Amino acid sequence: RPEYAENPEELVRKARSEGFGEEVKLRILLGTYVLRSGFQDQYYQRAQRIRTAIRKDFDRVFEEVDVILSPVFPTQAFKHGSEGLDPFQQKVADRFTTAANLAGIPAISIPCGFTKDNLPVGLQILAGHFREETLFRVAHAYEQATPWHKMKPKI
Amino acid sequence: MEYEAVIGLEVHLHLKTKTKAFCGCSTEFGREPNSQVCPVCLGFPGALPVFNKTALESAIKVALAMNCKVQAYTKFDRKNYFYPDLPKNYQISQYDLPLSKDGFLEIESDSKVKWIRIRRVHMEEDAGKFIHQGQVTLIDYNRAGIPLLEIVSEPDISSPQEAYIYLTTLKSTIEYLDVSDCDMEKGSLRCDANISLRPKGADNLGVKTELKNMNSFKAVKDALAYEIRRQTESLESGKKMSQETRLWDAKEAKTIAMRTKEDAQDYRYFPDPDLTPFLIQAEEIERIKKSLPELPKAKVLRFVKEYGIAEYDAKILVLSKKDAEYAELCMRAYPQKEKKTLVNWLIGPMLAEANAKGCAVAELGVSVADLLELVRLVETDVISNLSAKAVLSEMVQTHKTPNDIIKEKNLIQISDSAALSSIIDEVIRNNPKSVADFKTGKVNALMFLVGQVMKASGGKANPKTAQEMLKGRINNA
Repeated sequence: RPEYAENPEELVRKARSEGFGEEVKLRILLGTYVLRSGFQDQYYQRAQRIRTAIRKDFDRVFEEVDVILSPVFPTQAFKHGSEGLDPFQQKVADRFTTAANLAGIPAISIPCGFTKDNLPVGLQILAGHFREETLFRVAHAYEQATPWHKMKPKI
Repeated sequence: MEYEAVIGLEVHLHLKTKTKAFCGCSTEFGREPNSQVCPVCLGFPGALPVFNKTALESAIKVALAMNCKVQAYTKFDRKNYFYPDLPKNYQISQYDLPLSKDGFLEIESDSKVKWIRIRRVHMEEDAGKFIHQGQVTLIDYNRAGIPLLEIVSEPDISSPQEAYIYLTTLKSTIEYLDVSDCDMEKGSLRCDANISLRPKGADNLGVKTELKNMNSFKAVKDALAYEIRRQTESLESGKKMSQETRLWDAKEAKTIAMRTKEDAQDYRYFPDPDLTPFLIQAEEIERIKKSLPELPKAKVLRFVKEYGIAEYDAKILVLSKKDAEYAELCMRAYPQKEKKTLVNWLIGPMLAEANAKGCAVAELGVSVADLLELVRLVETDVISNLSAKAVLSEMVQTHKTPNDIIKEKNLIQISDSAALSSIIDEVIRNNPKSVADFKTGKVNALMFLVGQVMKASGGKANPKTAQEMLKGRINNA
């Protein structure tokens, strides 16, 4: 909450400018942009239709398999600060995990080992809509068969 | 050039649910500010809404009473804007798939029946309330999240008086459903108006003005009347109308323009992802439809048919649901086939007592049996009509039975000619001029003499008997 504001609009503007981080601001601006009157069809509605197509894709695949496995992250953990990935690269790196959000399916990530630099690696398991039971059983079985969940990397 | 007014009304109604629309906070009115709030209605990060089922049922009841088509598939949308009384910075409302649409409200205007079409009835939540205290404005969020119904009419209303009738008819209908208090003073009913003028008989709509800040049905009528005058003057002097919002100033009895916003608000409506769209089963709608109480219009028709009373009288009897039920109990128990006398007591003295006390007729504490007894006592000439009215007042005050009161106050009418004889003689003796006037044919003189008999007898003489006796004695003298 800012020290001083002339009026409610300024109060809100200052609080949000000072309080929200860059990423949050970016997403708010993006959301506002695509929802603008006159542009909703072009951006928001179109994205929603693509999302439905993604969901239907997963529905089809889960008719033939029980679960889908993938890494959680496409590379090993990146370094902190400017040596690591920039915000855009980070977003692109989310490509395995955004699928569950878009398709609305259950997913879980569990430890599955370490890279040769001793950095932990995550395994993502995806299951079909309302198939949480299958998801938990597969994850549990893997956990029972491996020691990774009991190990911590040396910092 | 003659202009005609084209008016549409938007009514916001508080639904009388125990808890808010999307959280478990109490909706009780008049509590300590900000004591009925929680993370959901305050819009704290991470809080999620859950829709109140009773609110949906109440909404469907209203939609059906407004003759609207309840949609099978409906959803909530976010209406996004910034304002201090809106905690989430969006209002949960309905945009393109409202709960119901395409209905009508039947009103009586100028003794003619008119249908005002209802464009839609949809659900939303209320915002917080501002309390202005000098330089500071405080905000009470107890009201934020209370379920609201928005009822939008088509611009079918053509006069301020019609707008008033629309509102009273709407209120009377919805009161029967018992889903809202419909009280503009308490803020459970709010009304905004849209008005435009066009040349009489024209098809196109003129530029509309939105009116806000009217705090009573009368204010709506007054504000619209003022706007018609103002806009007519404006148009006749050649000024061009621009779309604007104006506030009604009740004290000064005029409308003032609101500071114009630079751009029209873009609410960026999108479906609320926290609330799933839902289906309303046809069986559910049927069930609710069957559970609707008999509405005023149907009750009037039935009263006329079943009890043979005048439509005009029936309309007064049905104004309030409680009173209509009380009236029906009375009419059922009343032994005579012709109910006029009883009805006159209900819409006359009983209603007057209720208005004086500021309550419903049914709440006066006069039992059906007692009222009927009182009416019987008058009909059998035991007491005079005049005395009966006084007895009624006493019944309302003390809840005693009519017979007890009559005995106590010694109000039994003197109908016996022997008892009245001496009074009659005295009045004739003391008013020679009136007696002479009556003999020359002045009927009023007789009435005056009857009045004198009533006075001399302390109001207890039977006026009919007195009149006959006076006539007899004077003519035979």
